[in-house]
Order: sequence, then structure tokens, then C-alpha cells
Amino acid sequence: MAEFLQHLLNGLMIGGIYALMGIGLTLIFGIMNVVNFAHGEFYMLGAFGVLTLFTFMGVPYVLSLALTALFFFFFGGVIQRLILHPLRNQSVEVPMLATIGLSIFLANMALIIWDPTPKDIGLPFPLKAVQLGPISLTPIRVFVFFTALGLIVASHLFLKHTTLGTAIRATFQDREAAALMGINTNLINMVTFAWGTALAAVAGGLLGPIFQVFPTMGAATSSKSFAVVIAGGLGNFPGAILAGLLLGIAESLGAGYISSGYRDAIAFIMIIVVLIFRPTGLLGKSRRLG
Amino acid sequence: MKRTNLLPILVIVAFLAVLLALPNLLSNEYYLRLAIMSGLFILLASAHNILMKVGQLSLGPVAFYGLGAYVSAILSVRYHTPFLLAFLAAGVITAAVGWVIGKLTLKLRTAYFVLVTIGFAEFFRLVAINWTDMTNGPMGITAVPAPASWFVGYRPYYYFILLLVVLVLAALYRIEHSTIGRAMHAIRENETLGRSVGIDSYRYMMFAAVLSSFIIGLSGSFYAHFFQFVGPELLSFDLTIAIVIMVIAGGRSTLAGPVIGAILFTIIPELLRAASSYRMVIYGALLVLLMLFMPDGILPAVMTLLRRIIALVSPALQRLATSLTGKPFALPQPVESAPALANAAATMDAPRALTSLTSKDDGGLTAPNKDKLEGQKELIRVEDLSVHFGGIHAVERLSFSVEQGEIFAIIGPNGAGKTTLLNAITRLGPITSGTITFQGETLNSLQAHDVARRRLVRTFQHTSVFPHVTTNRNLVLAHNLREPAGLLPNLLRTRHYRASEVDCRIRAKEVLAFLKLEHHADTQANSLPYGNQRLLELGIAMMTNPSVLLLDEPAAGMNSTEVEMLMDLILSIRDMGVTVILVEHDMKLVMGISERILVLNYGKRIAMGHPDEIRQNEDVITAYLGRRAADATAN
Repeated sequence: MAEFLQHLLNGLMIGGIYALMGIGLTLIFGIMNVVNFAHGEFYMLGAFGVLTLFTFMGVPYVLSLALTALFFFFFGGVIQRLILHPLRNQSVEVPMLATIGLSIFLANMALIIWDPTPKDIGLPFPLKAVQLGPISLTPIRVFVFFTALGLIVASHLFLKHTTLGTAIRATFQDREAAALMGINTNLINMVTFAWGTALAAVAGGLLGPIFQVFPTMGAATSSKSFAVVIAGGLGNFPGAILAGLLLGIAESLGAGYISSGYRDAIAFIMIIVVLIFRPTGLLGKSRRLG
Repeated sequence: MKRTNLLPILVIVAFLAVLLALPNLLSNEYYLRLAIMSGLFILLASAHNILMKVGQLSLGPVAFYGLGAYVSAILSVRYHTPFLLAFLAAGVITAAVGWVIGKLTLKLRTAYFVLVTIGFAEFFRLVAINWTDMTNGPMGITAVPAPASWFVGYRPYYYFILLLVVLVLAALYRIEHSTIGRAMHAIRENETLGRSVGIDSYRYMMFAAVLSSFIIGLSGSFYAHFFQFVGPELLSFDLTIAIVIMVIAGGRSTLAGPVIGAILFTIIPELLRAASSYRMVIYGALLVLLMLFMPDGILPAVMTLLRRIIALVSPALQRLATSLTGKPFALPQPVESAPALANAAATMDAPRALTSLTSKDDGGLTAPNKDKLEGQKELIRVEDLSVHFGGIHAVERLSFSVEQGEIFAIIGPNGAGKTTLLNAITRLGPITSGTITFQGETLNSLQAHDVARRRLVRTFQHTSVFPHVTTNRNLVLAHNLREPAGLLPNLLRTRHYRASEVDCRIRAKEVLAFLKLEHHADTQANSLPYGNQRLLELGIAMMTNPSVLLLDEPAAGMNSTEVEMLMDLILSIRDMGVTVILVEHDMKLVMGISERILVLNYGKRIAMGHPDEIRQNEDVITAYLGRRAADATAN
């Protein structure tokens, strides 16, 4: 039982990160109709951002995280403007292939800059575990889970209760009508992409201290975020959160009780099964944001 | 005239001769190996491109590549199967798996399809790594035997892959210029319209999936016996990307595009070897730049450039030729090959066009037959039909019937359920309950293309044509249901097939003449004036030789002259014996030509009868026409 609970909690933590990656990806798809294959690379770069600031330069961890988020918000905006904005009227596979090119470019640039050996970020919090009955929780894991949760809630509140958030939701509903109401939909695209990029970078920065950091770490996370977005329903915000948590738990339990070799297969099986039997996602047809 | 046909053949023969002599021309074995790799990638890219032709992007070709390689390797190494058998088994098993995966996934479109194909590829890769008993896991299968003892050096492999490439490209060329290829083109351009003129898009997509995986499976087998090793790297996402880049960079859904792409992107990475660590960086940047500046690929970009140069140069050439010979110079024009067509076209005039549209036909319906018409009045019967979308009752317990040869109009305010009703009849939309019968046969369980094949054909409220092809090609694409669709008639060009080709050209000319669109025959459909696009829609439907034509607001957006012309056209279509069901808001048109009118409001029938009765009907006036409109149309 204790082992089961431990797996469950680990799954929840990873699941929170998947959800964080997933909402960014699902927003980008919902608003821009772009399947962003570079999402995993933004995650990887976020981890390297924290590595550079926190480990190499000694900036406090939380501040490193915030600076990384800020930097990648602007980075995402620039990428959107330079690459995706010119392709906005092309059929869906064209921007998709452009993001594949971008992901190859970023991953291999990272290989040149930071070489392939995995690196440790080091621990930002004391290692001493908190005992909760039979299960133990390290402070970093608690921090990771609650930061992810906080960012998801903040994203939700932003979409629901700010003017910009309302404009994003309006664009999601009907791009043309939103444009007619005076919403600058090009700006909405840019903000959405920038924001999704920042969330992915923070996710990388959060998991960095728990696992190791290396240039090719983005690929696996990328495919898992896709699984989350598909299972939740493309463009479905609450769906992505639910699917993220579920995938985290399923992987953790699967690796613990079945086979760790097929651990990574769970995400792909999830993609296949959901798309074949329930292509609109776990939560069904209701496409909604926030 | 023969000269124009001979030239491409000569070029191909010369090209083949060079390819056959290539091993003797290349000084270095390394180049021969590169040529073999190019051949392998030409196969992969061309096969992958088959799915592009039906508008589906797969990011999982490596699943089939790996499968073919593993099947062939396992059969040869573990079961000592002779090469030819293992090679064919790889193709057949892979095609079978392609069929199963196609069945599961081809209902999905765009991003959903893309992502599910990645899922399958990655799943296959993980199986290859983890099923160690069969695949040796990450170690891979080594010592796969050569195809035969005399396969020594690169030369035999080169000729083998050359043979495969030539066969595959010849078959693909044949298919492209056949009913199957045109159906694929129609699906890629506008799938819904294709279905509404009788193209079974699912069937053609399945065909594309099976053919594509068959060729990829054979390529996988070649890979296994050429490198004599198979490992899970064969299923990597990087390889998928390499194949996709070849297809897209060359020019997707063209025949030559993937060939050019495959050769370029086999050679470019080799050249980039010098850049070692920057190689993949450049590769990624190249992909981004390609999408930004040549999203359609190199081949279409070059073709456009060539066309521009010719357009610039040809006046100068003309002047030069005139000054040299004193005679005007003209570029050779393509000539129609079928003499029957030339005759038919030359003698065609408008009245004859009308008769020939209806006279020579298989079914008796379109030939108006008075006795039959009296005996068999009811053509379509709608009984107790309801269509609900969640809580919205778009059509509610509606019953009516349409008689043979009449113009039957359906009117009502916006949201009355008119289009929903049309969608239900043509089976593009759902039916919640009730039945629709056509000549005694229930349509409920049919799919859209089946309904079209019973010659109930519709047009759409929002202009729906095949946008990126010419007017004439639009009509040709709509001819599908009158052509043999099997693989053999298409590959072998049977007599029946050739007859249908001639019929297609004649009919396209007739329809163009009927709609007075001849001068726009070579105009791209989406650059036609709006009114002409609406006429083209009508023409697309007429190509199928319908017995019932369902028009969804054909006059929307037309000016009054165009409406007058449309009225005449609909009347002459009716006179050909076609029953017309018309959904329309233009009261002048509705009252002017229809024999009976059904009025809907909130999905329910509020009146039905002759135009005069409808004009007087109090319910209709309150719900829809309004007092003033009723008075106006009475004049």
C-alpha cells in the first residue's frame, strides 16, 4: 500500500509537469492550429536556462526559474513572429514541418553548446525528506508539484478574468468574429505562443533538479505532451490537465508494477487508443478554454 | 503531331541508358553506394507521397519500413526462407498491416491523423527494442544473407533497386493519370465535394495506405539484405523526418517531386559531413527556410519560375522568328488524342449539347418517358424524419414526397432546417429517426458517395468547387462515378476504361457549352468570378448525369441577370428529365420556376403546395414572407 501511494504521488508530480506542458501545447493548437513539435525543445532549453543561472552563476533557484520564464516568453514571441506568423495561411502540415525543423535546429545547437553528457543542476532545497506516515516526500518534489499546480491555476484565472484572456478565448471560439470585434488576432497568436513557450521552459526548469539535464531530453517529453493533448482533446484546456495527471500516474504505476521497458510506450498507446476510439478526447466534444 | 509524343519517350530512353551505364561511369564505389541509397529513398519518398495525394500526412512511414526489414530478416535468418519469398512476404505482410492500421485511423484527418501515425511508429520501435526473443532488441539482427550468392559488390544491388524504382514509378505514373489518380486529386482538393459526386474517399484512402505500405515494405526488405543488418534505429523519428523532407522539399503530390527530393536529400547530408557537428543544425535550419520560402516544394517553385521565364521570353522569340522567317511563330500546342472527341467537339452546338446530355445513357430515368412518368410518380419519400443536434431539433417529424420530373422548392427562414434536410437526404449529415426512400430503396444506411451513385447529386450553400484546378479539370474530376474504379482496368486501360475517358471529355465540353463557360475552361476555379463559380458547381453536379439534382441556395450572391440565367438553366435541366429539389431564399426564383413548395419553420412543415397557395397562406406570411413580400411577389 505504501509503495502504491509512493508511486501515485510520484505520478502526480510528473503528471503536473505533463499537464503544464500540455496546456501550452493545447492552447497553441487551439488558437493557432499549429502542432508545435518544438515544445519539447523549449522544455529542454528551460532546463538549461536554470542550469546556467542557478548552477553556473549562483542565482537563487526561484529567481532563476522566473528569469528563465521571462526570457522564453520573449523567445517564443520572436519565434512566432519570424517563423509561424508568415505561415499562418498555409495548410496545417507546413507550420508543423517548420516546427520540426526548429526542434532539430534547437536540439543540435544545444548539443554543440552544452555537449551530450547529462548534467546535474544540483539541489535547490535541503534533501531531508518529510515523512508522512509510510511515504516520504522531498521538499523539491512538493515544490515542483505546487508550482505546476499554481501555474495551471494562474493560467486558468488569466484566461477567465483578464481582458487579454477574454480576447484569447474569443479568438479560440471564432477567429473571424474576434477580428471583426477589433481583437488583434495576430497579437493573440504571438502572446499564446510566447506563453506556451514560457510554460514549457518552466516545466523544464522544475524537473531539471530532479532528473538530469541533456540536449536530447526534449524528444521524449515532447511526445508525452502530445499524448496529453490528444487524450485531453486537441484545444481542450481542462482535458489537458486531466490527461496530464492521468498519464503521469499511469506511467509511474506501469513502470512500478509492469515493465519499465514499455514505460514510454504508455504515452503512445494512449495516443492510439484515444484517437481511434474517442477522437475528441477524454472529456468529449466540448471544446473550451480556461 | 506525333513529334510531341515521341520527345518525352526519347528523353526517358536516353535517361534510362545513362542509368544503366552508371556503374561504369562512376569512378568510385562510394558514389555507387550513394546511388543505391538514392534509389532506396526514391522508393520511400514516392510511396510516402501516395498518402499525400489523398491529402493525408503520415509521420509513421518508418513503422512499415522497419516492419518490412524485420520480416525479411527474421524469415531469412531464423527460417532460412529464400530471398524472393522473404522479399514478397515483407511487402505483403506490411501491406496487410497497412490495411489494418488504415482501417483504424483513416477516419481521422489533419493533425489527428498525423499524431496517430507517430504513435504507431513509436510503438513499433519500442516493440522492436523490447521483443528481444524475436528481434534481438537493441542489438539488432546481424548476418542477413545477400539475395543470392552472385550479389557481390554494389553493382547487383544497384541494378536491382533501379529495376524496382522504374517499376514503381511507371505504376505510379499510370495510376496518377487514371480514374484512381483523379479521384485522389479530387479528395485532396475538396473531400466533401468529391463524396457528393460519388467518390468513395475512404476506399481511395485505404488503397493509398495499402499501396504505400506495400512499397515501403519491399524497400525495408531491400534495406535488410543490402546492409545485411536490421536494428531499431530503422524506426527512428529522424528517418521519418528525412523521408517527409524529401517529399515536401521536392514537391508533394507530384510524381517527380519526391524523386528530386530523395536524390537531393541523400546527397546534401553527405556533403554536409564536412560540417560534422553542424550538420543537423543546418539540416533543421534548411527545413525551416524551405517551409518559409518554398512551402510547395522545389519542383513547383521551379515550374513557376520556368513558366515566368517562358512568358517573358516568348514574345521576344516570336519577334525574332517573325523577322527571320516572315511567319508568325507559335509554341506547339497540346493536341487532343482521341479523334472521336475532335469530331464530337467540332459538331457540338448548344441545342445538341442539351439532348446529348440526356439521350445516351444507361438508366432510363433521365430520358423523359411520359407513360412511365404517370405510372411512377413518387421519386423520393421522406417519412417522419427528425434530425437532432443535442437539444436542438433541426428537423422535427417531417414527411413529404417529391415527384418525378418536378421542380420542388424548400423555403423557410434561416435556421428552419433546410440545409439539414438536404444533408440528411444526401447522407452527408445525420438522421436521428425516420426514413428517406428513393425509388423504394431506403437511403438511411447509405453513405454520401452511395447516394451520389444512385444519381442524387447536390450542390452546396457555400460555394464548393475543386479550388486549385481549372474549370475543365473540375468537370473531369466530377466524372468519377461514370468510370471504372478498379485497379486492373485503370492499369491496363481496358476498352471500357477508354470509352469512359472519351465520354468524360465529350461530356465536359457539353457541360461547359451548356453553362456558357467555354472561355473559362482553363481558368483556375478559385479565380473565377463568383457567379461563374456557382455555375461551375452546377456543372460539377451535371457531370454525374444526375436523376435528382439538389440545389442549396444556388442564387445566393448572384445579381439579377445571373439569377435570370440560372432560372433558364434550371428549367432546361428539368426539361432533360432531371428532378430538381431547390432550397432558396430568392422568392422571384422560387415562385418563378417551382411547381410545388415546402415551407419549413423550426424544422417543421408549415405549408406545402403550389406557389399561388403558398403566397396566400397566412402561416407562411407570418412566419417567413411578410405581408409586403407576399404582395410584391404576387406581381
